[in-house]
Amino acid sequence: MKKIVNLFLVLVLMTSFVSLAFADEADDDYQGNPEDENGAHDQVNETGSHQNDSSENETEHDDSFNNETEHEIEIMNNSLGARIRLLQLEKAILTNLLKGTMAVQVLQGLEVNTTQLEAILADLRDVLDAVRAADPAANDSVQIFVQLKNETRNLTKEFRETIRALLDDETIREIKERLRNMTSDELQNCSQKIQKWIRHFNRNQLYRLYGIIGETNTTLLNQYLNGNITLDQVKLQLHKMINQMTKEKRYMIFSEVKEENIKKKIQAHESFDDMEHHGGGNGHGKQD
Amino acid sequence: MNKKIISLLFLLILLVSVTVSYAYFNQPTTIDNHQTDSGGDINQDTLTTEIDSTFLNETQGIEIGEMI
Repeated sequence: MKKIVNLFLVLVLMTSFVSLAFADEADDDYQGNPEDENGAHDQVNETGSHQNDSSENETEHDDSFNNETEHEIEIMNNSLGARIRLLQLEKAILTNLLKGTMAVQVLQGLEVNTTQLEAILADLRDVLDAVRAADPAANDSVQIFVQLKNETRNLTKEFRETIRALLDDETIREIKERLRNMTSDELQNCSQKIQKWIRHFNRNQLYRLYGIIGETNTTLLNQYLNGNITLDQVKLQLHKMINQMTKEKRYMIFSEVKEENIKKKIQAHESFDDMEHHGGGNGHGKQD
Repeated sequence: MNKKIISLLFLLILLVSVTVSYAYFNQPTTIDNHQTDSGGDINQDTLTTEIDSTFLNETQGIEIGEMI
């Protein structure tokens, strides 16, 4: 009897250890390996390699920029989404051109040589023309968008670095302050266009959601499209409607929406990966 | 004696199998850090987040960096 009890105890002990090992492994997989990461950071700090730090920051920044771009192209599988993204890029370039031009004027007043800055602005204007000429319905609109966005980013960075080499921090802060709230008719027109197309896009999304739900509130759709109610109000109404449904129906809606969102993400990821491997998205301009 | 040990061993294996199966089928499924339980009902925040992500924010723009 004693032998049996001992055997039983050993078995229980072994089972507990195996379970513990599995649990630990799963936890490590989920959390990554922070010890290694810290170790790597310590090593960098010990060697005092600031260059490594800055290149690491730049890589992180590049990754975040690429993730943003990948997220942006998710809606570009139709011409409406592509039109919105191209218009948003146009607005971003217009804003930077406006600020750049004003900065150059300020520098000319200070009798600083602005030849290099003006050349960058001229390149940025060329990119703006290319964005305006891009066809949202074209098959390669995603590739063009990514390429032009990267080009814009590189030129902006080049301008920023050039101006920082010319002026001290105090003057840069003053100019920044002056340019903070500047606007133009061209910029406002662009903003209005973006708002109009985003409302169309959201109306279509809402219509699609109503299709899944099985009920359509046409009044709400029209009110949103005409600008009589905000997107938040639309969302509130939608959530109220969904809250009143059975949990099975809610789960069905969740599954459908989730599936669509995942499909879009995968498509965008594949498309972005494809561009990166074929070197289609790097653009021109200075790259560091 | 041997028979008893084997019976006990089988009993233990059975117990472990039942425990593992129970834990496996009852563990919550995780989708993008949001939890849903096996009963089919979903967290309100999860559904809200998923639906909200299908819409575009009217004020959000594209980030290309500052000129200065």
